[in-house]
Amino acid sequence: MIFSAIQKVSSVSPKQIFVRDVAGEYSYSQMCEKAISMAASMPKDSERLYIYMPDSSDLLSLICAADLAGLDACVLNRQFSASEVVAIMDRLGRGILASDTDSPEFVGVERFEYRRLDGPPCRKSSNKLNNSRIIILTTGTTGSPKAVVYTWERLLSQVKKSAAGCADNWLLAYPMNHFAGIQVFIHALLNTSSLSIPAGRTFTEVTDCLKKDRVNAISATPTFWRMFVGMMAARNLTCNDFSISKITLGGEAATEDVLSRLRKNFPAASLVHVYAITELGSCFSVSDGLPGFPAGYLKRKTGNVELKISEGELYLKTESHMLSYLNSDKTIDAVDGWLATGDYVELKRDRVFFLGRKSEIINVGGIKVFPLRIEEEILKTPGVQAVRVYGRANPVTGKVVAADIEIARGYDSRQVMEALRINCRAVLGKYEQPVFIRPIESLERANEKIVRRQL
Amino acid sequence: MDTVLKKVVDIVSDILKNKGRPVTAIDNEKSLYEDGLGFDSMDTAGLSAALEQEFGSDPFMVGEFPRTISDIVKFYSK
Repeated sequence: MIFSAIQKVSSVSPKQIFVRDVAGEYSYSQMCEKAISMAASMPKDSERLYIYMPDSSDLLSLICAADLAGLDACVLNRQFSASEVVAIMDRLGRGILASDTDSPEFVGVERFEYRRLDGPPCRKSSNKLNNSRIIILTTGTTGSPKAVVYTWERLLSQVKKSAAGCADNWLLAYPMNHFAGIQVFIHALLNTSSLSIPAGRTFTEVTDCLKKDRVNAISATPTFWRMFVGMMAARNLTCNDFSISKITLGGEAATEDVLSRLRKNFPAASLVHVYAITELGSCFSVSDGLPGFPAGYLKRKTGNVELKISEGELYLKTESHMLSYLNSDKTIDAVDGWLATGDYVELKRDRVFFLGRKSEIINVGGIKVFPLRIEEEILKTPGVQAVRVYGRANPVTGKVVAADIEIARGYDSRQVMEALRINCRAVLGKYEQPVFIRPIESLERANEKIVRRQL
Repeated sequence: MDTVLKKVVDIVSDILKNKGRPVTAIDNEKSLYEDGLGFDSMDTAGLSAALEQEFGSDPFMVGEFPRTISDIVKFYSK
């Protein structure tokens, strides 16, 4: 179905630029033709295509080609080693591998040489056009990565379309092995927008891409945005140095600190945050620029979902969730169709605020503490660029609150730590006080999200 | 003042200051807890964490329960 989508746009707007990457720019019709050539050359016995390469127009064409040829597609994290790639292929089930890299580890792996398509076509177009699947490995920021399976039909049904979308040029800020990367790709496609893929993920590479391609729309995590506005300040850049008019946040809770920084730095840009879970899809969005979501969302169907709160946890009902985990009968645990999200929330007057993940609660001497609230307060301290709050074992209370903080360039770490302690003492409860604080050079990130695995 | 003693006194003083109970001089033999300086469980957890951060270990971690500053100093002189 993803191939049908690109073919449809290509027939209406063939010359519209779809993808820009380091190698050049490609129209919808060019991307469509590339996918057709690739599909025709895929080995006829294969059921699955694994893609292991930097994000690029080739990668996107391969995804479309796999669908046309009736193969499932699975984009692998480029940060995996070759041996990890082979291990995953063994775990999930063998298929063919399209990769820009050679490795001794790949001996015995069937390769698809997508750069050499001069042989005779060996595969007819599939009769499974509406049934091929995309397999997405979860981030693994809170546990081991799982393989989530969607049909393209189900994913495409979640996308909102707008007539003005053809004027948008989106930055691909999420990697394509990530659910959010796939979301940005299909959103751009179904809205006949353009997609710009930066050469890399450093601030310089991203800003070079933003300026060269006049990117106006970016969807990224709050962690990405905190770093981005921090680097803007460090380099005396303002919104006038860019063309950004649409800002979307996702993947982590959009807290007041990051929203207010974005409002201040990009006052004319629209600000939307999206609630999505890999297993449940893109659920709903909030466009008023405030944290949490309106309580009115609990009273009616919103986006693809119905919402309710039960015992402090957010539940939702949606038809657009994943099919299953791969090689497993395990699907979503639902009671009467209601799915537990694992997110604790609090209803305050006309707004619902996120308190944090159930799995991240810290039990301090019997008192349950939510790291998210503490992080929000810590992030208000000038000089704190990023923070991770977690529970640390303590012989007296079982756990205490600990915080690892990244200090922004140009700030004195001792002064920041002192200001942070004063701020926390003024605002947080006794059991929420971070007892163990350490400045570190760089918090562990995966796919632009802070890793929150319990230590 | 002995270095270990000074560090422990500084840690205890900080905790008292944060409780809004700054002191100019602490009696090393006075109880840290409710019958003395008034440490509750969170203060004691903070004391344990601060000692671990400073010295790499703390008496609470190994099952001891020091009553006074002197007890803590004795732990580190073993």
